Amino acid sequence: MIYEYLIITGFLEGYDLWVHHGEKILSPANKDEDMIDNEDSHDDINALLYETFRNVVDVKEDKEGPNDEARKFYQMINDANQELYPGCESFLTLSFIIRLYLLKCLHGWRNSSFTDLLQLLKEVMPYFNIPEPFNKTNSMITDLGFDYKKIHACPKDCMLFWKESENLDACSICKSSRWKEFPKVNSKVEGPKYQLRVPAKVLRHFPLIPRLQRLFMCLKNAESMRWHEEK
Amino acid sequence: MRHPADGETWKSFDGLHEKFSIDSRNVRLALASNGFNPFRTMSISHSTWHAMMVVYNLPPWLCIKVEYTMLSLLIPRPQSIGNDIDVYLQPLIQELKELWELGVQTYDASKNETFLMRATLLWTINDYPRYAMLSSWSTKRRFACAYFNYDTNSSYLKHSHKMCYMDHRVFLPMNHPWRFNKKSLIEK
Repeated sequence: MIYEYLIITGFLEGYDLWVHHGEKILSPANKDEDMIDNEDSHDDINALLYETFRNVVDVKEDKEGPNDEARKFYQMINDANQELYPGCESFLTLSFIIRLYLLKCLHGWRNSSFTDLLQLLKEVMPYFNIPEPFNKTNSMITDLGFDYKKIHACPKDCMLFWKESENLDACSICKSSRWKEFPKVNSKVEGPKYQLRVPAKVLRHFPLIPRLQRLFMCLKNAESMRWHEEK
Repeated sequence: MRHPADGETWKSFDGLHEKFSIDSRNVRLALASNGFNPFRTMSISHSTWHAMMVVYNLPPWLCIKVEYTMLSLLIPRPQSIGNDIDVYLQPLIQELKELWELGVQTYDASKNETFLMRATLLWTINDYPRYAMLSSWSTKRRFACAYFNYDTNSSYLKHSHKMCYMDHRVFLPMNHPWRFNKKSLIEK
């Protein structure tokens, strides 16, 4: 169970940040050894937001311009590119949230504790420019493309529960249950009416297409994607 | 050779698929897969499997940097995955098919325009035992070579109970004196 917990909380979420392009974020495995790198990662996030995306956002649309999806993304970045508090030079709202979220993942904070922390920050410093309601920070991270899809799998590796078989409760090949089975406790006290269902096996799928698309949305990367021909 | 773009595979692919290679922004990918132990200790035998995508359009100083490789699948399991990897690769294959057959409308920031991005998977990066899992061609026993398939020349050593792979004469140039020296180099 401990391993399970490790996988679900600390480790994977650390990874889902790590995939994003152009960003130097520590994997939890070496967080202790290089604290100096941590400083770099902070700089890099700012650089990412300042240099790579701002240029594009400012471009006047003389030609075709970004398509709807890209425009939405830039708009989102633009909206969040505000000063953290009036006069703050080192942090933007977005970079602050990303850094905080990184800490959350590395140290396995719960969602509720994260929300509470944000609420406290806002209470102590009302001029802090953090989005309200606070679960919006989570959706912000998702919009940035740090998210992944969870696909349940048959515990004996026969099939994935996706597409047409998404709602099945048992594997259609080996008939084993999709959910974990817990031993029944013979106690006189009645248990909860419904039981929380825990999937037996979960595949994490990090969609490739949006990641490739974002690679082209960043000015510097889009240029280097043509390197092999132009060199 | 400083980049796969200088390699034969890349060039012959360009020749075969001219529609694809006409736009240099079309993405060429490599898939790297292996098992690893997420618990930082080797005393527990547990292997979580991952599949990572490497974008080979990028210059050599970027393409295999951590920031530019993309994790695309994470498969939890206690043991090595074996041939069951096929089941878990489905979502990735579906995406790759879509990218290859249809393409995806993508905004290019450097040219400020939208183009149809297509992608191909050119290579897989793995060690030899993993190769068997990804290619579904066993890399053990008689036909161990996935390139020669059924033409793999192998023979069983009766007394040491091992397979051995002979017939390296085929790799010699045609005018080499040993090339047809069947007598002294023949297996058996």
